[in-house]
Amino acid sequence: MKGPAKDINLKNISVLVADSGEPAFRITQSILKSFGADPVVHARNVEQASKLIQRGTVDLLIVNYNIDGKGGVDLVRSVRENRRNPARHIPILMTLGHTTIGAVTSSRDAGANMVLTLPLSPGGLYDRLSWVANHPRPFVDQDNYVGPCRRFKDTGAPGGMERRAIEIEIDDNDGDEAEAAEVSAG
Amino acid sequence: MPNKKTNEARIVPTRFTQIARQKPSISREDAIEAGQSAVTELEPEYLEWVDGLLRELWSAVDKAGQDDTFPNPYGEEAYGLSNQIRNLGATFDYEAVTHVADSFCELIHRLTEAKRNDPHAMRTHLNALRLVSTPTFKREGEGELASLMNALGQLVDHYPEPTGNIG
Repeated sequence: MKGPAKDINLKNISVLVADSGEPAFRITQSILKSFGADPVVHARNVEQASKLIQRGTVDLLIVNYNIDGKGGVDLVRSVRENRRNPARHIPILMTLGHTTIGAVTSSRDAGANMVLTLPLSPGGLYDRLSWVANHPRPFVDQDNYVGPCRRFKDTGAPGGMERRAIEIEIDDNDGDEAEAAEVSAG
Repeated sequence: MPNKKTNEARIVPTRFTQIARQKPSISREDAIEAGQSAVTELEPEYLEWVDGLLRELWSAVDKAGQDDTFPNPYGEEAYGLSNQIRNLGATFDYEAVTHVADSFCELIHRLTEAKRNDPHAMRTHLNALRLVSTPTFKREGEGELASLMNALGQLVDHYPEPTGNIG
């Protein structure tokens, strides 16, 4: 993710923000709406989020790892693994506050496109949305993993931003090995 | 078989990727300016938000401390609330709030891994959070942050750092 982010159009993109906290939602909503996204809807728990996603009108999901305890992973996995879900291929960004490697790997293994460390900054969020829009990855549907292919070329931090990053080895062909996962400063 | 896996890997167009690459677009520069302005407009809400979260956290810490087993649901709730306060502090440039809340998260994380309860350490973190979350501390007290963090760090370091921490 080196170099300037490509411009993106978010007009009429429908976003679901799944987060237990009202302030976190309001901040995310304000940033996204200032980018042009609309509507930006709030789900306060996993059950509410699942119902809204099943309607098939969500274009992008931003979910907090700690919704309903540590329910973010369960939500992502349920979206990806249900073949009847019309939204199973949508981009999903997982947000994390206090960050552990375990939380990052479980987010990635559940099928999140990206993991963002909080707080969200407008520039950080824009860069990741641009990346997701302009670098679509094959969707993997295997017994041990469903979600965007976790193999992608890591070319450094986006847009010259500093990056709080780690590299984690995961392999979509064998859940135990090889490749890059990214954690980005929000 | 509605949930049968197909072992396929192909790029699936989504409405997001299709629309996001269309014109008219918003430039990164304009987006950052608009986004920052939107966040600034929310700043007056900070005190009310933090106050509400601290009240919830007080209740969760109180209940978590009464339960000998750890982790318990209230400890988990306290972790989530501390995370929310941490992120609010970072968003609105309350540096001390960010650090103290992050230390609180780390404490609960370590207690969870160690399966130990420590009501005293949790209450001390809570009191520290109440102290640093005010505009007064932001204006006048940040010089005391290093010694405060040192004291809180000693409480946290009483428990081993779990493997797999990013820091």
